[in-house]
Amino acid sequence: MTFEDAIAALGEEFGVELTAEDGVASFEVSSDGGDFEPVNFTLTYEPENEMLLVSADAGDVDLESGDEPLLKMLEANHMYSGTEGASFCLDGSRAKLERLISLEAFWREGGKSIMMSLFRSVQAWRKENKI
Amino acid sequence: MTYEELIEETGAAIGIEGFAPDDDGVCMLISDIGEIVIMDCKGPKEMVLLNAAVTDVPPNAGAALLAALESNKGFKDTNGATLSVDPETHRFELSRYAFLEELDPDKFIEMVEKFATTLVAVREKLESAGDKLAEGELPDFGEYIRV
Repeated sequence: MTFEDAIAALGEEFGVELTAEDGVASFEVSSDGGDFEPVNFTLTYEPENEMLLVSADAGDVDLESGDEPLLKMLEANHMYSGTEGASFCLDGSRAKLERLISLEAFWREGGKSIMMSLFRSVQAWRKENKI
Repeated sequence: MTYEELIEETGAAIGIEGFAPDDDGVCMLISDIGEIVIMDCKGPKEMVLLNAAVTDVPPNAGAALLAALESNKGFKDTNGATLSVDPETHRFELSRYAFLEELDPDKFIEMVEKFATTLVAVREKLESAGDKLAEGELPDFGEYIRV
């Protein structure tokens, strides 16, 4: 199973064509009824340890608005209680929800179910923080 | 290999005879860097979770919260672990998990060693970040000097 194979298989699970280039695949996931804002995903393959970094963009955080949103992200991380096994982080002012998983486990667990757990956690966090 | 076998064999490999989890699947490694709690998480996939207290969230938390969230980015500064805040104790914690089926004693020892190294590094980072003042913020002088 190569990274490219895993991305193509993931596309089949979603019913769309997905491709990877230079170890990176990016795409948007939206809900069927359009009830939720779409979430942009980036999957980056790390060949040196055969790990996959799955990153979901949760939105922009106003860093001038106080500690509350930062605290909520870190509290959601506590024992992975609000993240279904993923971790909130900051990339500049962008909130991201990320999971590091072996390519083999991503394939074995079902990539779509992993992506959808991140999608749910991002939507819950956006709703709580009105993003 | 069961969780109990993993813990027992790991204990034997690092010289702790009789190392075993309690009835809730919890055991602890205690050293001068603190306590590393080891937990068995049953579920669709059985997982082994490591957890440790890092340091208290300081009163002026902004810089430390930012440092924690930036450290989590890409798991590079945390060696695969995650920094969080316990909403009850209001302290930073470090956690990491792995699927039981992917572990053997050697891999688990390596995981614990990396976790311990990361714990020391992030504690130093967060405690020094907590000492920094937010931009434009005045330090708490405690008393003033009349000139």
